Amino acid sequence: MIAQSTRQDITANNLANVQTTGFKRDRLFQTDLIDAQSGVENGGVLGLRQLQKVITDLSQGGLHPTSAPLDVALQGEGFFVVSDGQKTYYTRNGHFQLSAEGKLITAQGHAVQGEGGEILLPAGQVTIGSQGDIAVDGRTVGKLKVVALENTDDLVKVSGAMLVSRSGSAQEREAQGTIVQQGFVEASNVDAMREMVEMIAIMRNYQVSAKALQAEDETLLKTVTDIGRVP
Amino acid sequence: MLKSLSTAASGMTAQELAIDNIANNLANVNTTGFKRSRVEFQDLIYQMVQQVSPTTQGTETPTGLQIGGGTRAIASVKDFDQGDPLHTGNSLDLMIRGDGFFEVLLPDGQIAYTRDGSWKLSSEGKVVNADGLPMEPPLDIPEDATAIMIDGQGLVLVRTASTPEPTEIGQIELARFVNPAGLESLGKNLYAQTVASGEPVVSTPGKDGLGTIDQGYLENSNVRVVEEMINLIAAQRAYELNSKAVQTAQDMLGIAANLKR
Repeated sequence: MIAQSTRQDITANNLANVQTTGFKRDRLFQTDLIDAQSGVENGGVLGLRQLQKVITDLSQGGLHPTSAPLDVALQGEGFFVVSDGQKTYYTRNGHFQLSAEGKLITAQGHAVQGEGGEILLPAGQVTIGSQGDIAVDGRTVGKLKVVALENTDDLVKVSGAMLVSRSGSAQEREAQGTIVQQGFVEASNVDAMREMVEMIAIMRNYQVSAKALQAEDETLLKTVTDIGRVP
Repeated sequence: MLKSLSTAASGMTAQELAIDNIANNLANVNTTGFKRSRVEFQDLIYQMVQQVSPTTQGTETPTGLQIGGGTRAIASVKDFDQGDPLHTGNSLDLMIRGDGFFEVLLPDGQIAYTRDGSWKLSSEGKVVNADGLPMEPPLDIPEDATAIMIDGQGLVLVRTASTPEPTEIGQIELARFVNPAGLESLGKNLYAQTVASGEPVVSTPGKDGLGTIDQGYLENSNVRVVEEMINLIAAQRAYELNSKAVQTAQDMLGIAANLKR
Protein backbone atom coordinates (compact mmCIF):
# COMPACT_ATOMS: atom_id res chain seq x y z
CA MET A 1 0.00 0.00 0.00
CA ILE A 2 2.87 2.34 0.79
CA ALA A 3 4.44 1.53 -2.57
CA GLN A 4 1.19 2.42 -4.33
CA SER A 5 0.96 5.76 -2.57
CA THR A 6 4.54 6.56 -3.67
CA ARG A 7 3.50 5.69 -7.22
CA GLN A 8 0.51 8.01 -6.84
CA ASP A 9 2.78 10.86 -5.65
CA ILE A 10 4.91 10.44 -8.77
CA THR A 11 1.88 10.27 -11.08
CA ALA A 12 0.45 13.43 -9.48
CA ASN A 13 3.75 15.22 -10.12
CA ASN A 14 3.78 14.09 -13.76
CA LEU A 15 0.23 15.35 -14.24
CA ALA A 16 0.99 18.68 -12.52
CA ASN A 17 3.83 19.18 -15.01
CA VAL A 18 1.88 18.24 -18.12
CA GLN A 19 2.48 21.79 -19.45
CA THR A 20 5.97 22.46 -18.03
CA THR A 21 8.58 23.27 -20.68
CA GLY A 22 11.34 20.66 -20.91
CA PHE A 23 9.83 18.45 -18.18
CA LYS A 24 10.59 14.73 -18.35
CA ARG A 25 8.18 12.28 -16.75
CA ASP A 26 9.16 9.96 -13.90
CA ARG A 27 8.02 6.44 -13.25
CA LEU A 28 8.55 4.16 -10.30
CA PHE A 29 10.42 0.96 -10.91
CA GLN A 30 9.94 -1.75 -8.32
CA THR A 31 11.36 -5.18 -7.71
CA ASP A 32 9.63 -7.91 -5.75
CA LEU A 33 10.25 -8.16 -2.08
CA ILE A 34 13.68 -9.60 -1.51
CA ASP A 35 14.66 -11.80 1.41
CA ALA A 36 17.24 -10.13 3.50
CA GLN A 37 19.88 -12.88 3.47
CA SER A 38 21.73 -11.63 6.48
CA GLY A 39 18.61 -11.95 8.61
CA VAL A 40 18.27 -15.66 7.80
CA GLU A 41 21.95 -16.41 8.47
CA ASN A 42 21.79 -14.85 11.87
CA GLY A 43 18.89 -17.09 12.69
CA GLY A 44 16.71 -14.09 13.16
CA VAL A 45 13.40 -13.17 11.67
CA LEU A 46 13.12 -13.21 7.93
CA GLY A 47 13.40 -9.59 6.86
CA LEU A 48 11.85 -8.27 3.73
CA ARG A 49 13.06 -5.38 1.66
CA GLN A 50 11.76 -3.86 -1.50
CA LEU A 51 13.91 -2.09 -4.02
CA GLN A 52 12.43 1.04 -5.49
CA LYS A 53 13.87 3.54 -7.88
CA VAL A 54 12.55 6.41 -9.90
CA ILE A 55 13.39 6.31 -13.56
CA THR A 56 13.19 9.52 -15.55
CA ASP A 57 11.97 8.95 -19.08
CA LEU A 58 14.22 11.18 -21.21
CA SER A 59 12.30 10.70 -24.46
CA GLN A 60 11.66 13.64 -26.76
CA GLY A 61 8.78 16.00 -25.95
CA GLY A 62 6.80 17.76 -28.68
CA LEU A 63 8.18 21.01 -30.12
CA HIS A 64 6.00 24.03 -29.43
CA PRO A 65 6.46 27.12 -31.64
CA THR A 66 6.88 30.41 -29.72
CA SER A 67 8.59 32.67 -32.34
CA ALA A 68 10.77 34.19 -29.58
CA PRO A 69 14.38 34.55 -30.80
CA LEU A 70 15.89 33.26 -27.55
CA ASP A 71 13.73 30.14 -27.32
CA VAL A 72 15.52 27.05 -28.54
CA ALA A 73 14.56 23.39 -28.53
CA LEU A 74 16.66 20.29 -29.02
CA GLN A 75 15.58 17.66 -31.47
CA GLY A 76 17.46 14.47 -30.70
CA GLU A 77 19.63 13.45 -27.77
CA GLY A 78 21.51 15.77 -25.46
CA PHE A 79 21.12 18.68 -23.06
CA PHE A 80 21.92 22.35 -22.84
CA VAL A 81 24.58 23.05 -20.22
CA VAL A 82 23.87 25.79 -17.66
CA SER A 83 25.80 26.87 -14.59
CA ASP A 84 25.15 28.86 -11.41
CA GLY A 85 28.86 29.51 -11.00
CA GLN A 86 29.50 26.44 -8.86
CA LYS A 87 27.52 23.53 -10.21
CA THR A 88 26.83 22.46 -13.77
CA TYR A 89 23.26 21.59 -14.64
CA TYR A 90 21.81 19.91 -17.71
CA THR A 91 18.44 20.87 -19.13
CA ARG A 92 16.18 20.42 -22.15
CA ASN A 93 14.37 23.66 -21.27
CA GLY A 94 15.60 26.15 -23.88
CA HIS A 95 13.52 29.12 -22.77
CA PHE A 96 16.43 31.57 -22.43
CA GLN A 97 16.63 35.31 -21.82
CA LEU A 98 19.19 38.07 -21.36
CA SER A 99 20.71 39.35 -18.14
CA ALA A 100 21.43 43.05 -17.54
CA GLU A 101 24.99 42.51 -18.85
CA GLY A 102 23.71 40.87 -22.05
CA LYS A 103 24.56 37.36 -20.87
CA LEU A 104 22.36 34.48 -22.07
CA ILE A 105 20.65 33.02 -18.98
CA THR A 106 17.80 30.66 -18.09
CA ALA A 107 14.57 31.75 -16.39
CA GLN A 108 16.24 30.82 -13.06
CA GLY A 109 19.23 33.07 -13.81
CA HIS A 110 21.75 30.30 -14.52
CA ALA A 111 24.30 31.19 -17.21
CA VAL A 112 23.89 29.21 -20.43
CA GLN A 113 27.22 27.66 -21.42
CA GLY A 114 28.64 27.89 -24.90
CA GLU A 115 31.63 26.07 -26.33
CA GLY A 116 33.83 28.81 -24.86
CA GLY A 117 32.10 29.46 -21.54
CA GLU A 118 29.31 31.99 -20.94
CA ILE A 119 27.62 33.60 -23.94
CA LEU A 120 27.52 37.40 -24.23
CA LEU A 121 25.12 38.82 -26.78
CA PRO A 122 25.48 42.36 -28.15
CA ALA A 123 22.28 44.17 -29.19
CA GLY A 124 20.97 43.09 -32.57
CA GLN A 125 19.10 40.39 -34.45
CA VAL A 126 19.88 37.00 -32.91
CA THR A 127 19.88 33.95 -35.13
CA ILE A 128 20.67 30.46 -33.84
CA GLY A 129 21.63 27.83 -36.40
CA SER A 130 20.70 24.15 -36.40
CA GLN A 131 24.11 23.26 -34.94
CA GLY A 132 23.73 25.83 -32.13
CA ASP A 133 25.82 28.59 -33.74
CA ILE A 134 24.70 31.98 -32.44
CA ALA A 135 25.00 35.00 -34.71
CA VAL A 136 24.05 38.61 -33.98
CA ASP A 137 23.31 40.65 -37.12
CA GLY A 138 25.06 37.94 -39.15
CA ARG A 139 28.25 37.97 -37.03
CA THR A 140 29.04 34.76 -35.14
CA VAL A 141 29.37 35.36 -31.40
CA GLY A 142 29.34 31.83 -29.99
CA LYS A 143 28.02 28.31 -30.11
CA LEU A 144 25.60 26.66 -27.69
CA LYS A 145 27.13 23.73 -25.85
CA VAL A 146 24.96 20.64 -26.37
CA VAL A 147 26.17 17.46 -24.70
CA ALA A 148 24.91 13.93 -24.33
CA LEU A 149 25.60 12.09 -21.08
CA GLU A 150 26.89 8.53 -20.78
CA ASN A 151 25.76 7.76 -17.24
CA THR A 152 22.19 9.02 -17.08
CA ASP A 153 21.60 6.87 -13.97
CA ASP A 154 23.82 9.30 -12.07
CA LEU A 155 21.51 12.28 -12.74
CA VAL A 156 19.09 13.71 -10.20
CA LYS A 157 16.34 16.18 -10.93
CA VAL A 158 16.25 19.70 -9.53
CA SER A 159 13.60 22.39 -9.89
CA GLY A 160 13.40 24.14 -13.26
CA ALA A 161 13.42 20.98 -15.42
CA MET A 162 17.15 20.64 -14.70
CA LEU A 163 19.29 17.63 -13.99
CA VAL A 164 22.48 17.57 -11.99
CA SER A 165 25.11 14.87 -11.65
CA ARG A 166 24.98 13.30 -8.20
CA SER A 167 28.61 12.27 -8.11
CA GLY A 168 29.73 15.51 -9.76
CA SER A 169 31.48 13.62 -12.54
CA ALA A 170 29.08 13.49 -15.46
CA GLN A 171 30.62 11.81 -18.48
CA GLU A 172 29.90 14.32 -21.22
CA ARG A 173 30.26 13.56 -24.88
CA GLU A 174 29.26 15.44 -27.98
CA ALA A 175 25.59 14.95 -28.92
CA GLN A 176 25.19 13.05 -32.17
CA GLY A 177 22.85 14.33 -34.86
CA THR A 178 21.02 16.74 -32.58
CA ILE A 179 19.28 19.66 -34.25
CA VAL A 180 18.83 23.00 -32.48
CA GLN A 181 15.55 24.70 -33.39
CA GLN A 182 15.24 28.44 -32.81
CA GLY A 183 11.78 29.82 -31.97
CA PHE A 184 10.58 26.58 -30.39
CA VAL A 185 10.49 25.13 -26.89
CA GLU A 186 10.25 21.47 -26.00
CA ALA A 187 6.94 20.63 -24.35
CA SER A 188 6.62 18.23 -21.42
CA ASN A 189 6.79 14.54 -22.44
CA VAL A 190 4.03 13.57 -19.99
CA ASP A 191 1.35 11.53 -21.75
CA ALA A 192 -1.95 12.26 -19.98
CA MET A 193 -3.51 9.01 -21.21
CA ARG A 194 -0.71 6.87 -19.81
CA GLU A 195 -0.85 8.68 -16.46
CA MET A 196 -4.61 8.13 -16.18
CA VAL A 197 -4.19 4.41 -16.89
CA GLU A 198 -1.39 4.36 -14.32
CA MET A 199 -3.70 5.99 -11.79
CA ILE A 200 -6.42 3.37 -12.35
CA ALA A 201 -3.83 0.61 -11.84
CA ILE A 202 -2.58 2.30 -8.65
CA MET A 203 -6.07 2.53 -7.29
CA ARG A 204 -6.86 -1.15 -7.97
CA ASN A 205 -3.54 -2.37 -6.57
CA TYR A 206 -4.18 -0.30 -3.50
CA GLN A 207 -7.65 -1.83 -3.10
CA VAL A 208 -6.25 -5.36 -3.51
CA SER A 209 -3.62 -4.70 -0.84
CA ALA A 210 -6.29 -3.32 1.46
CA LYS A 211 -8.43 -6.45 0.93
CA ALA A 212 -5.45 -8.71 1.65
CA LEU A 213 -4.84 -6.80 4.84
CA GLN A 214 -8.50 -7.15 5.84
CA ALA A 215 -8.43 -10.91 5.11
CA GLU A 216 -5.33 -11.24 7.27
CA ASP A 217 -7.11 -9.28 9.97
CA GLU A 218 -10.12 -11.63 9.82
CA THR A 219 -7.91 -14.72 10.07
CA LEU A 220 -6.24 -13.27 13.13
CA LEU A 221 -9.60 -12.43 14.60
CA LYS A 222 -10.73 -16.03 14.11
CA THR A 223 -7.53 -17.32 15.68
CA VAL A 224 -7.98 -15.12 18.72
CA THR A 225 -11.69 -15.69 19.27
CA ASP A 226 -12.50 -19.18 17.91
CA ILE A 227 -9.49 -21.39 18.72
CA GLY A 228 -9.75 -22.84 22.17
CA ARG A 229 -13.48 -22.30 22.39
CA VAL A 230 -15.30 -25.45 23.36
CA PRO A 231 -17.99 -26.12 20.79
CA MET B 1 -0.12 10.34 0.15
CA LEU B 2 -0.85 13.85 1.29
CA LYS B 3 2.01 14.98 -0.95
CA SER B 4 0.05 13.83 -3.97
CA LEU B 5 -2.81 16.09 -2.89
CA SER B 6 -0.68 19.24 -2.71
CA THR B 7 1.16 18.31 -5.91
CA ALA B 8 -2.11 18.01 -7.82
CA ALA B 9 -3.33 21.26 -6.23
CA SER B 10 -0.25 23.08 -7.55
CA GLY B 11 -1.08 21.73 -11.00
CA MET B 12 -4.64 23.01 -10.73
CA THR B 13 -3.49 26.47 -9.58
CA ALA B 14 -1.05 26.67 -12.49
CA GLN B 15 -3.74 25.73 -15.01
CA GLU B 16 -6.04 28.36 -13.51
CA LEU B 17 -3.39 30.97 -14.29
CA ALA B 18 -3.04 29.62 -17.82
CA ILE B 19 -6.79 29.98 -18.32
CA ASP B 20 -6.71 33.56 -16.92
CA ASN B 21 -4.02 34.35 -19.46
CA ILE B 22 -5.97 32.82 -22.36
CA ALA B 23 -9.04 34.83 -21.30
CA ASN B 24 -6.95 38.02 -21.46
CA ASN B 25 -5.65 37.10 -24.92
CA LEU B 26 -9.17 36.43 -26.17
CA ALA B 27 -10.49 39.66 -24.62
CA ASN B 28 -7.86 41.56 -26.63
CA VAL B 29 -8.54 39.86 -29.95
CA ASN B 30 -9.45 43.24 -31.47
CA THR B 31 -7.04 45.49 -29.55
CA THR B 32 -4.73 47.42 -31.90
CA GLY B 33 -1.08 46.46 -31.46
CA PHE B 34 -1.83 43.82 -28.78
CA LYS B 35 0.60 40.93 -28.50
CA ARG B 36 -0.56 37.59 -27.15
CA SER B 37 1.19 36.05 -24.16
CA ARG B 38 1.60 32.56 -22.78
CA VAL B 39 2.44 31.26 -19.32
CA GLU B 40 5.69 29.42 -18.74
CA PHE B 41 5.76 26.67 -16.07
CA GLN B 42 8.50 25.19 -13.93
CA ASP B 43 8.65 22.00 -11.86
CA LEU B 44 9.14 22.42 -8.11
CA ILE B 45 11.85 21.07 -5.84
CA TYR B 46 12.35 17.34 -5.56
CA GLN B 47 12.29 15.53 -2.26
CA MET B 48 14.74 12.71 -1.61
CA VAL B 49 12.44 10.10 -0.09
CA GLN B 50 15.10 7.44 -0.10
CA GLN B 51 18.79 8.13 -0.42
CA VAL B 52 21.00 6.06 -2.64
CA SER B 53 21.95 3.19 -0.39
CA PRO B 54 23.68 -0.15 -0.53
CA THR B 55 21.34 -3.10 -0.74
CA THR B 56 21.68 -6.34 1.15
CA GLN B 57 23.08 -7.99 -1.93
CA GLY B 58 26.09 -5.72 -1.94
CA THR B 59 24.94 -3.62 -4.86
CA GLU B 60 23.81 -0.02 -4.77
CA THR B 61 20.37 1.26 -5.71
CA PRO B 62 21.17 3.15 -8.91
CA THR B 63 19.10 6.23 -8.15
CA GLY B 64 17.47 7.33 -4.96
CA LEU B 65 13.77 7.77 -4.68
CA GLN B 66 13.09 11.34 -5.72
CA ILE B 67 9.58 12.71 -5.83
CA GLY B 68 8.67 16.08 -7.27
CA GLY B 69 6.38 18.56 -5.56
CA GLY B 70 4.35 19.81 -8.52
CA THR B 71 4.52 22.87 -10.74
CA ARG B 72 4.28 26.65 -10.68
CA ALA B 73 4.02 29.44 -13.23
CA ILE B 74 7.27 31.41 -13.48
CA ALA B 75 6.76 33.82 -16.35
CA SER B 76 4.30 35.12 -18.86
CA VAL B 77 6.00 35.51 -22.19
CA LYS B 78 4.86 37.77 -25.03
CA ASP B 79 4.90 36.58 -28.63
CA PHE B 80 5.82 39.47 -30.92
CA ASP B 81 4.58 38.06 -34.22
CA GLN B 82 3.32 40.58 -36.74
CA GLY B 83 -0.42 41.23 -36.48
CA ASP B 84 -2.62 41.56 -39.54
CA PRO B 85 -2.70 45.00 -41.22
CA LEU B 86 -5.98 46.89 -41.01
CA HIS B 87 -6.56 49.64 -43.58
CA THR B 88 -8.02 52.83 -42.13
CA GLY B 89 -6.84 55.54 -44.54
CA ASN B 90 -6.24 57.88 -41.61
CA SER B 91 -2.99 59.82 -42.18
CA LEU B 92 -1.88 59.45 -38.53
CA ASP B 93 -2.56 55.71 -38.35
CA LEU B 94 0.83 54.05 -38.65
CA MET B 95 1.82 50.41 -38.71
CA ILE B 96 5.30 48.98 -38.21
CA ARG B 97 5.98 46.27 -40.73
CA GLY B 98 8.70 44.18 -39.10
CA ASP B 99 10.58 44.61 -35.85
CA GLY B 100 10.43 47.69 -33.62
CA PHE B 101 8.34 49.86 -31.33
CA PHE B 102 7.13 53.45 -31.32
CA GLU B 103 8.33 55.43 -28.30
CA VAL B 104 6.10 57.56 -26.08
CA LEU B 105 7.06 59.88 -23.25
CA LEU B 106 5.38 59.06 -19.94
CA PRO B 107 4.44 61.91 -17.56
CA ASP B 108 7.31 60.87 -15.22
CA GLY B 109 9.89 61.37 -17.98
CA GLN B 110 10.36 57.64 -18.67
CA ILE B 111 10.04 56.21 -22.16
CA ALA B 112 7.47 53.53 -22.89
CA TYR B 113 7.25 51.43 -26.04
CA THR B 114 4.20 50.50 -28.11
CA ARG B 115 3.15 48.77 -31.32
CA ASP B 116 -0.13 50.70 -31.33
CA GLY B 117 0.26 53.31 -34.09
CA SER B 118 -3.14 55.03 -33.82
CA TRP B 119 -1.76 58.53 -33.30
CA LYS B 120 -3.89 61.64 -32.75
CA LEU B 121 -3.31 65.38 -32.76
CA SER B 122 -3.48 67.25 -29.46
CA SER B 123 -4.97 70.74 -29.14
CA GLU B 124 -1.39 72.16 -29.37
CA GLY B 125 -0.71 70.29 -32.60
CA LYS B 126 1.45 67.59 -30.97
CA VAL B 127 1.29 64.00 -32.14
CA VAL B 128 0.00 61.97 -29.17
CA ASN B 129 -1.38 58.48 -28.58
CA ALA B 130 -4.99 57.75 -27.57
CA ASP B 131 -4.13 58.49 -23.93
CA GLY B 132 -2.54 61.85 -24.80
CA LEU B 133 1.06 60.72 -24.27
CA PRO B 134 3.39 62.50 -26.74
CA MET B 135 5.45 60.61 -29.32
CA GLU B 136 9.20 60.54 -28.67
CA PRO B 137 11.08 62.31 -30.33
CA PRO B 138 8.31 64.98 -30.26
CA LEU B 139 6.52 65.70 -33.51
CA ASP B 140 4.58 68.95 -34.03
CA ILE B 141 2.23 69.37 -36.92
CA PRO B 142 1.75 72.99 -38.13
CA GLU B 143 -1.74 74.39 -37.56
CA ASP B 144 -2.36 75.13 -41.23
CA ALA B 145 -1.32 71.67 -42.48
CA THR B 146 -3.67 70.29 -45.10
CA ALA B 147 -1.98 66.94 -45.64
CA ILE B 148 0.50 64.79 -43.70
CA MET B 149 2.69 62.32 -45.57
CA ILE B 150 4.86 59.74 -43.80
CA ASP B 151 7.11 57.50 -45.85
CA GLY B 152 8.42 54.01 -45.07
CA GLN B 153 11.59 55.43 -43.49
CA GLY B 154 9.58 57.59 -41.08
CA LEU B 155 10.20 60.92 -42.79
CA VAL B 156 7.28 63.29 -42.04
CA LEU B 157 6.26 65.80 -44.73
CA VAL B 158 3.36 68.29 -44.62
CA ARG B 159 1.62 70.38 -47.18
CA THR B 160 0.04 73.64 -45.99
CA ALA B 161 -2.41 76.03 -47.58
CA SER B 162 0.38 78.57 -48.16
CA THR B 163 3.09 76.11 -49.36
CA PRO B 164 1.73 73.57 -51.83
CA GLU B 165 5.19 71.86 -52.00
CA PRO B 166 5.61 69.21 -49.26
CA THR B 167 8.07 70.32 -46.57
CA GLU B 168 9.92 68.10 -44.13
CA ILE B 169 8.96 68.68 -40.49
CA GLY B 170 10.34 65.69 -38.64
CA GLN B 171 11.55 62.13 -38.48
CA ILE B 172 9.89 59.23 -36.65
CA GLU B 173 12.27 56.94 -34.77
CA LEU B 174 11.70 53.35 -33.69
CA ALA B 175 13.31 51.24 -30.97
CA ARG B 176 14.01 47.53 -30.96
CA PHE B 177 15.11 45.03 -28.30
CA VAL B 178 17.25 41.92 -28.41
CA ASN B 179 14.65 40.03 -26.38
CA PRO B 180 11.27 41.76 -26.76
CA ALA B 181 9.65 38.81 -24.93
CA GLY B 182 11.28 40.19 -21.78
CA LEU B 183 9.45 43.54 -21.94
CA GLU B 184 7.08 44.40 -19.12
CA SER B 185 3.45 45.14 -20.03
CA LEU B 186 2.25 48.40 -18.53
CA GLY B 187 -1.31 48.13 -19.86
CA LYS B 188 -2.80 50.60 -22.34
CA ASN B 189 -0.75 48.87 -25.08
CA LEU B 190 2.49 50.13 -23.53
CA TYR B 191 5.65 48.21 -22.64
CA ALA B 192 8.57 49.14 -20.41
CA GLN B 193 12.18 48.10 -20.77
CA THR B 194 13.42 45.50 -18.26
CA VAL B 195 16.67 43.75 -17.45
CA ALA B 196 15.51 40.76 -19.50
CA SER B 197 14.62 42.75 -22.62
CA GLY B 198 18.03 44.47 -22.86
CA GLU B 199 18.79 48.06 -23.86
CA PRO B 200 16.78 49.55 -26.75
CA VAL B 201 18.44 50.20 -30.10
CA VAL B 202 16.94 53.44 -31.43
CA SER B 203 17.22 54.23 -35.13
CA THR B 204 15.25 55.31 -38.18
CA PRO B 205 12.76 52.80 -39.64
CA GLY B 206 14.24 50.39 -42.18
CA LYS B 207 17.74 50.56 -40.62
CA ASP B 208 19.50 48.35 -38.02
CA GLY B 209 16.98 45.54 -38.41
CA LEU B 210 13.98 47.81 -37.77
CA GLY B 211 10.77 47.48 -39.73
CA THR B 212 9.33 50.10 -42.06
CA ILE B 213 6.26 52.28 -41.55
CA ASP B 214 3.00 51.96 -43.45
CA GLN B 215 0.81 55.06 -43.32
CA GLY B 216 -2.96 54.60 -43.20
CA TYR B 217 -2.78 51.15 -41.61
CA LEU B 218 -3.09 49.82 -38.08
CA GLU B 219 -1.62 46.60 -36.76
CA ASN B 220 -4.33 44.31 -35.47
CA SER B 221 -3.92 42.08 -32.44
CA ASN B 222 -1.82 38.96 -33.14
CA VAL B 223 -4.14 36.76 -31.07
CA ARG B 224 -5.22 33.76 -33.13
CA VAL B 225 -8.61 32.64 -31.90
CA VAL B 226 -8.27 28.99 -32.98
CA GLU B 227 -4.89 28.68 -31.28
CA GLU B 228 -6.27 30.18 -28.06
CA MET B 229 -9.24 27.81 -28.16
CA ILE B 230 -6.86 24.84 -28.48
CA ASN B 231 -4.78 26.17 -25.58
CA LEU B 232 -7.98 26.58 -23.59
CA ILE B 233 -8.95 22.96 -24.22
CA ALA B 234 -5.46 21.79 -23.21
CA ALA B 235 -5.48 23.90 -20.03
CA GLN B 236 -8.97 22.80 -19.08
CA ARG B 237 -8.12 19.13 -19.61
CA ALA B 238 -4.88 19.48 -17.65
CA TYR B 239 -6.95 21.00 -14.83
CA GLU B 240 -9.32 18.06 -15.00
CA LEU B 241 -6.48 15.52 -14.99
CA ASN B 242 -5.04 17.11 -11.88
CA SER B 243 -8.45 17.03 -10.22
CA LYS B 244 -8.51 13.27 -10.95
CA ALA B 245 -5.19 12.94 -9.12
CA VAL B 246 -6.80 14.70 -6.13
CA GLN B 247 -9.74 12.33 -6.34
CA THR B 248 -7.55 9.23 -6.53
CA ALA B 249 -5.54 10.42 -3.52
CA GLN B 250 -8.76 11.04 -1.63
CA ASP B 251 -10.13 7.57 -2.49
CA MET B 252 -6.87 5.98 -1.36
CA LEU B 253 -7.04 7.83 1.94
CA GLY B 254 -10.63 6.62 2.28
CA ILE B 255 -9.56 2.99 1.84
CA ALA B 256 -6.73 3.43 4.35
CA ALA B 257 -9.14 4.94 6.85
CA ASN B 258 -11.57 2.02 6.41
CA LEU B 259 -8.94 -0.65 7.07
CA LYS B 260 -9.76 -0.48 10.75
CA ARG B 261 -13.32 -1.62 11.25
